[in-house]
Amino acid sequence: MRRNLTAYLFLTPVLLFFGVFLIWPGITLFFQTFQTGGIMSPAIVVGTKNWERTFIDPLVLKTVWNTIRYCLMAIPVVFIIAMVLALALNSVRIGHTAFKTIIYYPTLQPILIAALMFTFVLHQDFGVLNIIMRAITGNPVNFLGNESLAMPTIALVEVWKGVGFWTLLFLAGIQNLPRDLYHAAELDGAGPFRRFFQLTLPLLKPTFFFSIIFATIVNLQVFDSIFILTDGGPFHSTASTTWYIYRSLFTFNEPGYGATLSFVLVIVVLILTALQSFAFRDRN
Amino acid sequence: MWKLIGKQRNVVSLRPTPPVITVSYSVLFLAAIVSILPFLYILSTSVKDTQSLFSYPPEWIPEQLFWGNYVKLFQETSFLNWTFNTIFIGLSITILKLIIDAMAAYSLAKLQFIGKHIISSTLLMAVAIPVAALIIPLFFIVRDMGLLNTYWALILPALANPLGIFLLRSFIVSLPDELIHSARLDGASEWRVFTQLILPLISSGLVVHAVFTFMLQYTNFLWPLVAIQTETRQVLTVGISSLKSNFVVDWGLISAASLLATIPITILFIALQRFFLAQSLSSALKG
Amino acid sequence: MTEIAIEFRSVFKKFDDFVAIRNLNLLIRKQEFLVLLGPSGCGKSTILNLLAGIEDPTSGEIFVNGKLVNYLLPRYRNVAMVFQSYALYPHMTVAKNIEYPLKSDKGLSRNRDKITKMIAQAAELVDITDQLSKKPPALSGGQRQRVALARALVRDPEVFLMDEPLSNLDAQLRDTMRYHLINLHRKIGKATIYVTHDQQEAMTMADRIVVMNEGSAQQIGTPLEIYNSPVNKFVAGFVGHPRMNFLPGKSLGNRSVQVGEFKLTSSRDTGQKGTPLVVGLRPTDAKSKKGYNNVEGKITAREFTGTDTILTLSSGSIEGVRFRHIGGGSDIEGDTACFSYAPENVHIFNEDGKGRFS
Ligand SMILES: Nc1ncnc2c1ncn2[C@@H]1O[C@H](COP(=O)(O)OP(=O)(O)OP(=O)(O)O)[C@@H](O)[C@H]1O
Ligand SMILES: [Mg+2]
Repeated sequence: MRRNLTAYLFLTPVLLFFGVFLIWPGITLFFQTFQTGGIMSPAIVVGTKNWERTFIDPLVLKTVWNTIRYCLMAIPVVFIIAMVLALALNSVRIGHTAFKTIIYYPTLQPILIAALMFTFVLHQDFGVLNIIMRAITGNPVNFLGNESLAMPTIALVEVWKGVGFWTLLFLAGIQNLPRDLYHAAELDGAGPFRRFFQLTLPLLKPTFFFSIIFATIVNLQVFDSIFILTDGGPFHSTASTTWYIYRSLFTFNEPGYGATLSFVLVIVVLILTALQSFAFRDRN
Repeated sequence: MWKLIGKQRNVVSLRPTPPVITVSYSVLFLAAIVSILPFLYILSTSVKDTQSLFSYPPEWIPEQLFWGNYVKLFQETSFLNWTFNTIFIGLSITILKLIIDAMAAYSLAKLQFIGKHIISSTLLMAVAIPVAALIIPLFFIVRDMGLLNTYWALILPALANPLGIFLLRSFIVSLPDELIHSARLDGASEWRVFTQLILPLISSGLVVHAVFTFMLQYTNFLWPLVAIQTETRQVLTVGISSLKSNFVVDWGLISAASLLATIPITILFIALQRFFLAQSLSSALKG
Repeated sequence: MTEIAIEFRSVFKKFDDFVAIRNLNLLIRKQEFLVLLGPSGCGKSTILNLLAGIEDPTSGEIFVNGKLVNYLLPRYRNVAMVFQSYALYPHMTVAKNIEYPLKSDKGLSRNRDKITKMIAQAAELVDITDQLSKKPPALSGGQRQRVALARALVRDPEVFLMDEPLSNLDAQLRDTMRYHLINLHRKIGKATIYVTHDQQEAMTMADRIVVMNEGSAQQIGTPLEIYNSPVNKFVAGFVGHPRMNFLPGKSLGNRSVQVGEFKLTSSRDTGQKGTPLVVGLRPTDAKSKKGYNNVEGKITAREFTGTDTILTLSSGSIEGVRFRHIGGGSDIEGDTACFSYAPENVHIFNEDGKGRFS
């Protein structure tokens, strides 16, 4: 205990920033949910008015559902593709690093690149796909202008960007698995499929646990691609909670209501991650 | 007997069978094409004028290279400012974060003090806080500090993210205690132990952390969008996307900008490739 | 008379519920070479750590030169330590490693020539002069250990702490290093605590030995005292090779005991007639001819060690007792052999092994 002072000194800078820019906003967020006032005007306490409004505002439920819907589309797809790519990478020698590099490359780039790419492929007027479609059928498909296609398209954009990260993560997981087990399994005559389902998947459980929780936290905050590609439309079919938070602050100039929405987002994240932890613990 | 030996050889190398390899390569080729093609297409669009965008069949390699988009980008937009801002802010955050996170990680990994458990679990739980939910209070905090539209508005809040501490802690934890004890007995102060022993010994961890921090900063979108309104102070991501909000979207211009925006991070990627592995990130969180 | 360098005063060290050091009381004189001897896990390293300030005692006081150091940071204690795991700085060359402790001496750090000379001297002493520019990962275990020694020897500390500093060297090198260390210690005369689990090393090097077991000091004394008058079964069994024979017996009163069919006379007290006790006989104290205290039996095994033969005997009531027979010997298994013991070599212990009988 004599080294207490040094230990605290070493922690001070981090705790300072952590306190001022994470804990403090967290606390004020709570109080802001009971306030109203514009971006540049002073706050006024309005009691539970914001909260009452969230319960009757249909857009709140819609954005929460949109966000969850987006996660349900994006996360399984990105995980499955990443797993397949990781397995493929794990079984090739020649060109291993080159493929790894190329597959990881999109992850590095701002979401803008991904958004732009899909614009060029899917845009109603000049998207490659639509140019071809128009030539063949005469009917272009407006992916981002279609209520039921817009969100899957957003998910696809995010999958394209995110898949490299998860691929490398899973690959690292696979390569850290005990080799001996595989030798034993092969001696027992297990083929590649049985090895995958009976060894690799169960052994990767800790990795999956971490990955799913992490991916959920990140994806529940989806914003960039929506802002760039659809701005929540058409008819709010791609409006995520974060998008609504942003709009309450800047378009509607209602930070108090935005804070309430933020609080809703925090609650959604906490509930979903808690449920996931629970589900994972249970099965162990 | 022979069969057994043959089988054993196969087992020891655990080499995938030819069909598995074939399938693997096919999958990887497909993935590689999907990963790379967009960049090529953006490149091609950036050297086309708007007219030929709509031509059918699509013109992959334009017959006439059109440099107008690039000229316009440098002459009519703040692209150079954005690039400078992004790199400057990214580097500032990376350097500051590296120092403070390493200090905290050393403290949490190797020093004994009251409240260690509470502090480390608070930091760890904070990883689960959706940062997007904090932008509104953060906006007002930064506004009240008078930092809106300054570099500080982007630099300071980024230092609060605790994830990197756990990454570095996992590196420091694996160093033997005796090394630190020995240095202390040799007369080193805690600061000297930290700078002369810990930092050099976790250098690869520091690079991984730096690379992640910079990358995260480079792709950051929401917070700069909220905190910076002055166009010349903006970062690349938001700056380029603001090009889109004109009434008529100039796709060629956006393509040129996007393509150039990939260059700094690509250079970094090529230089520090092996540190971009995501492996350490997961071990940090699990540990 | 002699000055005290270090004092442990009823020191306890607990790790959670586990008691690693139990009531340690120890005085170490200036210029003394003290050896901590004991089996693995008995708390030897912990004692060094307590003295160095790496661990804090749970209770009790530690004094260095009469000053209470319980709350002094390691870097202010001025002790040099050779760690059991060497603890070399892997990113520094051997020369830099040896130099590191000199860095905190502000006056010295300006005198580059002197530093270079000190490094060279220390390296010379442990014979690693040709490795100075390598980094520790490139060295063998024995070389690393010598660098660790050099790093400690380069300093001029209050106390030297050495945690099995020779354990990784080959027999020959170990002998030379022992000799060097003892000579060096005589020359500079600094209190040294030396940890080993090799009893022979302890015997040859120590001024005094502390025999440890399960966190307690069992006996503190000169090598001769420890060998000749072990205070309990543990010490007696731990020191001396081959291991002492322990035979169950019964006091006959008047300093004599009955062991099986043999009656032995000891120079030690045997207590009340009829008390059960344990008799200790060192194989090496045995005389191979009939004499005063005789033990007799059939030879069941013989091991030839070069200079002597170790015979294992069994008789009606005792089994597997070993005796040393000097020289090759012509006895074969099945023969009857007889050994005798001088009364001062008949050790008497409590039945529970906790202490000497008295
Ligand atoms: N930091 C610690 N936490 C918990 N227990 C410890 C710690 N350090 C030592 N111990 C325990 O204290 C006991 C004594 O350990 P110590 O290292 O002093 O043994 P030792 O005599 O040096 O053994 P060896 O000859 O194997 O080095 C052991 O049982 C060990 O498990
Ligand atoms: Mg030890």
